[in-house]
Amino acid sequence: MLNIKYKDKKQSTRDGFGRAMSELSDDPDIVVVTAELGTSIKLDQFSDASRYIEVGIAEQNMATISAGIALTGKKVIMGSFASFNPMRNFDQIRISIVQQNANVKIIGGHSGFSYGGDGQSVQSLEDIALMRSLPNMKVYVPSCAEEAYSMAIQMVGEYGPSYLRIGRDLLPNWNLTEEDFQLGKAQILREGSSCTLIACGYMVSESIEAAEELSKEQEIECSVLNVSTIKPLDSKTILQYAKSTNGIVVAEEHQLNGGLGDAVANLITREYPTKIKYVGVDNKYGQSSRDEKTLRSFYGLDKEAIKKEVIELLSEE
Amino acid sequence: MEKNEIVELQKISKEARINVLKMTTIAGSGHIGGALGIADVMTYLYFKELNIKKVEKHFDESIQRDSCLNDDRDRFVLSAGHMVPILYSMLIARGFIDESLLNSLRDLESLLQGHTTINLEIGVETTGGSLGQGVGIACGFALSNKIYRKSGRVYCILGDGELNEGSVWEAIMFGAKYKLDNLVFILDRNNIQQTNFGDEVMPLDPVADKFKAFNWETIEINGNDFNEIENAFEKAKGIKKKPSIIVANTIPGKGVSFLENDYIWHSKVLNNEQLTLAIEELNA
Repeated sequence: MLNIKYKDKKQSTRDGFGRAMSELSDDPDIVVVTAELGTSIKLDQFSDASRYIEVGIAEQNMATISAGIALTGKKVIMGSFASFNPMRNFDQIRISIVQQNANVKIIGGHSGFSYGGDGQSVQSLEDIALMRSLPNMKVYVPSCAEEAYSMAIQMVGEYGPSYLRIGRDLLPNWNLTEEDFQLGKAQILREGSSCTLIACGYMVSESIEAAEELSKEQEIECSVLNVSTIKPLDSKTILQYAKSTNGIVVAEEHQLNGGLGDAVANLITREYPTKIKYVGVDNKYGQSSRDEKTLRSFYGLDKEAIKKEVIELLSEE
Repeated sequence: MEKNEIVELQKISKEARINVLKMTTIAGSGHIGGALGIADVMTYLYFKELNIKKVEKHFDESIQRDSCLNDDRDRFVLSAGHMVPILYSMLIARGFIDESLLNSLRDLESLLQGHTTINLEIGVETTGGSLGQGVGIACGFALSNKIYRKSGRVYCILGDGELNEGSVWEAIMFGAKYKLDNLVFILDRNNIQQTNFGDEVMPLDPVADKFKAFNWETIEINGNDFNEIENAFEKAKGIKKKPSIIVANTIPGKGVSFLENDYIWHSKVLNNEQLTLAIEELNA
């Protein structure tokens, strides 16, 4: 079991991503493309201006320009808010990038309820579902800054299209080394035999807190899995914990339709049917809020919701 | 251009038109109107303008994609990807595709897919089919060549119906911003679309003025006249600090009297009788 102590500083996944961009600046084969939101998602920490391309507020063009550059043998990183990238340019991503297997890394920032004030149009709750549906697409959702940093570096090191979902919130960094974060591998952050909590992104820290409180308050011991690679899913690890606990609760900052919950459900149904419950947005859109904590609780995305599902699951026959 | 050279090019164009009609009739579907109209521009590109050669191996991760890395070749993008039969005809004429594949258009597992599908081994640089995307990819090719100091030029044919798509204009603004003087667009201005004449679906005129307003060098020609085609490409070569667009006014269905200027033939193919008549006319 990995030590889940928090590191002292809280950072955002966009901070970790920005650090990766800064480090990658000297790779002459990398070109970065953005649609005016490079600063907001820390893409602009890429410091070589000759390979930092600003297309203006034109996400569809961002995707086709990126594809064209990638097809000349380069590694392209293109980023904007998740609500526009992949939403606005899904056609272009599908055909110009994925159908050609172009080497483009797609960065979706301000994801989920990262930004309360802007309201529902910017709150992307469907991007994981969209990207999962594409053949050849890998889907990565880091849960802390250091994981975001590590995933970004590794993404650039592998070939083909992939998606990185990041946000603004200041989150604890797990006390792990960079080597512990491997694309395609879930991390086991806590061991416990009652129930398995599976989460990605923001909801991982909520799941850890839920597990700690369930342990103190109810003597229920949960395992916690950070499933940061949603596609391809780490089936082996998930099934191992499905088999050794009484059931699974999946938590994500996304619609219940089409996200991590559905990915896990698909696996479980086929390989090892067991009890499974979900914490996510239930077919609703977001709205404005002056703080994100209140907003998330409003939509049932917090440790209380996770605890409730665990208790229900364990009380069912 | 010398008279005998024009005769040679006209011969190639004619053969290409015949192949377009043959392959689509055999396939039972395909787009012929625009393909016939743009055949002369395509012939000029593939026999006088493009610096290309047969690529040995399509990109492959395990060998680090050596066939698209770091070379100085010209690249051609068919953004109006549905006109692919004329591209296949050119590639057959240049020896990139074996003539025996003529009867395999749109067949299951065929190399000749119904819209452009990337395959460097047969000379198809990029996938098309959803209008308004190839133009952006062409800009990406051209920008990469600028950044990495490659001498290859980029040519892209787009349709006038395609101009309905907003993403085309995003690419056009982009081309001007980055001063892509290694980039030449050719607009197939034939005024036909799927359901009607272009002006009835969405009026575009004054179309040339639009490109000038977007800071592109704009050259208007009769797209079925080889002298005008040559002059346009030569002029484009000399333009610095801005990309060029050749507005090629073409006759859709050119060369076959019962196909010319009728939007019905945008995506309708000939039956065997009509094919025989058409070939007779073209050969006359």
